[in-house]
Amino acid sequence: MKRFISGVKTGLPICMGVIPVGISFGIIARQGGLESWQAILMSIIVFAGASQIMSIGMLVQGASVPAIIFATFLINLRHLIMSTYVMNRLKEKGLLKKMALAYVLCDESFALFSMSEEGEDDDIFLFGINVVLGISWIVSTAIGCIALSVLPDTISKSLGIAFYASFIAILMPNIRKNMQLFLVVIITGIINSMFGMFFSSSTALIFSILIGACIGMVIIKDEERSME
Amino acid sequence: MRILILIIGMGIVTYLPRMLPAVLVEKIRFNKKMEKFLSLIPYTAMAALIFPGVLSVDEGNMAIGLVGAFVAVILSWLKMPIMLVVVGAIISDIVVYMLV
Repeated sequence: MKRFISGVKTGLPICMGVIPVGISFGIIARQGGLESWQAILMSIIVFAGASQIMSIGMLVQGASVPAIIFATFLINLRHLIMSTYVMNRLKEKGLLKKMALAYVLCDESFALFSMSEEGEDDDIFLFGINVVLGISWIVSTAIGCIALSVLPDTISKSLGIAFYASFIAILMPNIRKNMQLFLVVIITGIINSMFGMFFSSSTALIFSILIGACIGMVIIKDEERSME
Repeated sequence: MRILILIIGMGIVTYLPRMLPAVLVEKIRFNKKMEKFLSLIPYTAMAALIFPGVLSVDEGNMAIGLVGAFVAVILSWLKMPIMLVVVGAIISDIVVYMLV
């Protein structure tokens, strides 16, 4: 129970990043012609912000259902890498438990979980994070469907930074102590920008994550533990 | 009906990459090198998620992303809690929008 609550507490600040995206998805989905229940159902079943928003964009442009599903697959391939990390850490836990936890594994929960200290009952801790993120994603979608455009333009536009600010806030405490790691982070960002000119952003993302980690293998000395 | 099929299809292809490692990692033992590689993934993944996406928070105005990210970097460097970092970045962007 203690670990569950600690997971919930860890997840709460990140809701600030999730809720604006959920609200925007709700608004976009309604504007794109989805019923409110369809938008909410999509948030429950798919649980992937970027691909959900993209799917509406593709629907509006008249894309076919298989095309949208394939694009979704490509965008979410990155979770293959993230999940490998998470599942490696949960190695000792039961398979069914891990398969259930995989359902809500997203960029945010991965970020929080991987930056947290390893401890007992990591599965319950991750479950706590997942519950908070899951609820805030679904509820904020519903709010977006209802609100549509009640928020003043300035505020709804400014909320877009929340996603990035929360990632910066998670990353910073870990890299400010380790300049080599800092360097790897900067290099990865640069690689991703360069790849973005030639490939789709999801392809660029996958390759820059992998190449960045390869570079890190060389740059970061072994005796310095990168994870704590 | 079309939307329902879309939702279910998207659900499946989203769940698969998240779930497969749970099944596969059981059978693989990673060596030290691979462990190190995996331990770096969180950092490179977040780096790639932040940059360059943050520059196009507002497609028409790069300053929004830059100012917000700058404020977030400063606040997190000063060891502020995540919530404060996020709120600070949002407020700084509201200010930018009001000035422009």
